[in-house]
Amino acid sequence: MMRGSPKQRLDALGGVAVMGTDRAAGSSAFGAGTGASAGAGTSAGTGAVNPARQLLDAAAIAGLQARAGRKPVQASGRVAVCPADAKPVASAAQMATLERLLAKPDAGLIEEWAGLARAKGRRVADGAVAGVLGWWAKQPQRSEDVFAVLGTCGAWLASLNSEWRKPVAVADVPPDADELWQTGKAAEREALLRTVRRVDAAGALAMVETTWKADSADERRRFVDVLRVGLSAADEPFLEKALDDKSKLVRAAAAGVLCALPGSALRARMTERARGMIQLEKKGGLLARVMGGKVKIVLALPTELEKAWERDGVEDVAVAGIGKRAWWMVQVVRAADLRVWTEVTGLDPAGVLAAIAGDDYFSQALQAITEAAETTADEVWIRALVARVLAGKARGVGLFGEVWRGLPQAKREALLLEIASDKRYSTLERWMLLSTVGARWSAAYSVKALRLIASHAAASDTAGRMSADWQLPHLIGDAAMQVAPEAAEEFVRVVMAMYGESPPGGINKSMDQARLRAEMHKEFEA
Amino acid sequence: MPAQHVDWDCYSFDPPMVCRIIVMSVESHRLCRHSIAAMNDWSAEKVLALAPDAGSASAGQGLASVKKWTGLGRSERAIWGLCQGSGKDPYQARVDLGEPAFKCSCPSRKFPCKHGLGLLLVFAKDAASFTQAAEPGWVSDWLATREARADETEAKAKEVAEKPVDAEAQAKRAAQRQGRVRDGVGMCRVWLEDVVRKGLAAAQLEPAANWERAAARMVDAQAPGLAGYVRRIPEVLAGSDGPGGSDGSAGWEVQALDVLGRLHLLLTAAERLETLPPDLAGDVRTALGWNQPKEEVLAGAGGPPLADRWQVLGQVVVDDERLRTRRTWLVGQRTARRALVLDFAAGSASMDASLVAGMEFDGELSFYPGRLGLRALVKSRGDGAAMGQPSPTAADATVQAGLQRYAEALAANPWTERWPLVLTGVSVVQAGDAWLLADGQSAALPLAESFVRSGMLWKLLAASGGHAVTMLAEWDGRRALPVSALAASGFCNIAPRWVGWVA
Repeated sequence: MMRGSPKQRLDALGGVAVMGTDRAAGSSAFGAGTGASAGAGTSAGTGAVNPARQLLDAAAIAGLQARAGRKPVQASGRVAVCPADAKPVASAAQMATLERLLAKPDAGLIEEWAGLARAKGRRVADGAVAGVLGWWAKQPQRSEDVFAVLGTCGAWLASLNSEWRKPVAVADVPPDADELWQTGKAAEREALLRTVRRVDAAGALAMVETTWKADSADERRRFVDVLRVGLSAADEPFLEKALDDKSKLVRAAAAGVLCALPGSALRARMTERARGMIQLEKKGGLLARVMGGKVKIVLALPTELEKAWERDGVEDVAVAGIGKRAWWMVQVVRAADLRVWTEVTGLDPAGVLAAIAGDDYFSQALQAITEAAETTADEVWIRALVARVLAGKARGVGLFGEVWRGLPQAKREALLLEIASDKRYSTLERWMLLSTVGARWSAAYSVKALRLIASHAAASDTAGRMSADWQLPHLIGDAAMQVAPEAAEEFVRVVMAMYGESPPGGINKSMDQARLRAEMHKEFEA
Repeated sequence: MPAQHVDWDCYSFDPPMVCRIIVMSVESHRLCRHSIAAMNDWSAEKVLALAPDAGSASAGQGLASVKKWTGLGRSERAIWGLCQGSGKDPYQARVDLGEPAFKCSCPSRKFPCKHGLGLLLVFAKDAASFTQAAEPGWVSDWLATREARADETEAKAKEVAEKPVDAEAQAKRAAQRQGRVRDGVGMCRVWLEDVVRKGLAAAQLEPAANWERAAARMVDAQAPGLAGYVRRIPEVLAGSDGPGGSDGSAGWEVQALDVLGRLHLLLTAAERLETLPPDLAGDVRTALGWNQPKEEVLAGAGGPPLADRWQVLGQVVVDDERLRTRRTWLVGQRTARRALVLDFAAGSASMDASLVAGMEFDGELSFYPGRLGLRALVKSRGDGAAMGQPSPTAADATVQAGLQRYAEALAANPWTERWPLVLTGVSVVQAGDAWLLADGQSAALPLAESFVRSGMLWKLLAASGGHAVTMLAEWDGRRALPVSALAASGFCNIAPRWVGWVA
């Protein structure tokens, strides 16, 4: 009889089994007494010893004994208990909707659900937290709302999973932020910095400075870009220093961020450079100027690129389709304060645009001015730029740039409705214009915009032509996620009118999304 | 073991018995139908359990909105609605709430199709949006056809029951099968000893096709149970079952030998099948995959039905390419009896929906013949109610108590592959990189890797919040696979689903 516990016996027998009984016959590991344990070690009939059977007999018995006699292991560790969450769990209907969204994950809809739940102070039911967290941690852009509605359970669960710890660390400043900042990968550090920056702008800047000298050029560029979050004059000295960085990428990034900082020294320098370029051609004296359009602005383009300009991020090498000198001008004008135009010429924005129209570099200048208006959101300038396009022969949607981008939503919506009601636009162009308004349309805008589209669509476009256009489904898809939930039915009606009874799959999906969003909002209103 | 000759095949060929069996099975079928019809508490989870695959479940959820439907209506026994699809006419979907049974005018080959699932999901969520109305023709006609068919089947069954049975032919068929199985056992014996003689190191070099061929021969010999063992060996040899580790699990060679040893034990028993006591012979036949027909089980082949308050503790669905198998675990509250109900569905067919994890009911189970009596069928049942905590009699108060029950099960039937542990007061704990299931005394069991990998570990942790819960776990002697948990926040399914074979 072999000795030892069943497990020891099984281990020893395993060694014999690896070799095979043919070769292990003489080995001492496989004792002669094994067969006795089952009494079946002899082949029936012959009476001869059958080592294979002996081994199997012993293994069967040892295996059964090991299984039956298995003792529990002693657990030394414990898992800390999840802190209680006082927030109420989302209702059964709300949770059912979320589960439905997770079945075929649609990031936009899940985030919207989370936004609604967060606003209503609801959290995800415990049973669904792991599913949502797993999905969320894999997203390239991780919504804060989603993590927030997972409540204390989400944070607790993530602390137990090494794959979730880091994404969470950057969603919520963790206690070991320093550690992560010192040792994390570039993308993790960038995400962490973004989080810290949102709650403590000065702290974030200080954090950047602690490792600045040791960071790679790529990291430095990333960190400079992050400073756009919560940008203030306090960041300027640091950014000014970054303009002298070793890496061109870092310098360009710093210049870009300083451009976006109203009242920065860089902007002031750019404004002065622009001032030097704007020249008023005074043909026919004051009277003629007042009487009619003779005033001309001439742009005096720089002849060579100064070192100081280059330091402020003005690139030497032009993009295709534009001359070197014109390119320098564009880079200066788009970063300059728009007021310089009215100050130098004494004209209002509309007047400036009229006066400059004859210049050789008009189109480039207009482009630069449009970009400047986008960042400064000066309404007078924006109106003047829009009016210019509408008055012209060319009516392409692209001519506007997105000049209204900086305006507050209500003003942006009003302006877009005004532009889009211009009769010359096709349904497609009207969709394009109206959808530039932004992520969430107000209820009033949604209804008005959709009516506008519907009223013109019937007159100008046939259903056949509309459904053949490849761009429209994308626009409709975007609108499905942007339109106010109250207007979902209106949206579906408009789209159905365009595509007839059996719209293609993609359009159907968009209509479903709009309806689902409406349902979701209703569930959270109740 | 005393030599005891039992001709265990003879009783199935007693003609009057066969008649009784068929009549009873028809009656029990009616009984089931009736009791389920009363159950109208559909939940999304129950509906989705009917989906033939994950894709259908998700497509069905896409249609689970009132706005997708027109003409939603209901009667006492059915619901119906119209859904606009890609065709010209809307699809007519209807559900007989009794079974449930589905019918839809769409061309889908899936059954039930997404429309049927969607319709039932809407009903589960918002029954009020269905107007109580007279059944339209396309609904009542279908229900009438179904009824007529059911009557026909019943009539046929009665006819069969009343017809004199050709005992001679049946005996011949049984003898044929017995002969085939005996040949299969003999073949398997030769094959097994060959593997052991040549050694596991040599076996590791065998191409996968060889194992599959050997398994296929066992299936041909009508002993699929043997094929199951054969198929597991290459898996273990490939180390796919995880390496031997600090948690006390064994290395691949020991695991492989363990499987071979179990197979050897089964073959040894099968070789002497005629001399075994009938209950043990029943267990051996079940392990060989030679199952008694359902009708005979329901008629009491394994003993009289057992009445109790049964808790449906959990379900595990295993998806093989062609066949889905569902293990449903039940525990009787007064008798502490464990029961396993197996359901099979081929292709995209749906599973029986009458047993849903997390419910309990008063009813009778009929067990398959055997010493342990684990596998069972529901003979009759009352209405289902949400499950409460298992009674102290029925539950395993500690891990040790659970293992004790398992040891007893092994003693009765050494081929018990999985045993349901009904643990109260257990929590998940982390020991280094490993996750364990521990009771209040820190006695712990290692968790199945598939469970940790599937992400269900996190669902369990979240549902429990780190607190102790009541849990059903399948125990195979090595690792625990949690199937469901009853936490403060409610009942929670945590069995990996639609993930293929779960070891």
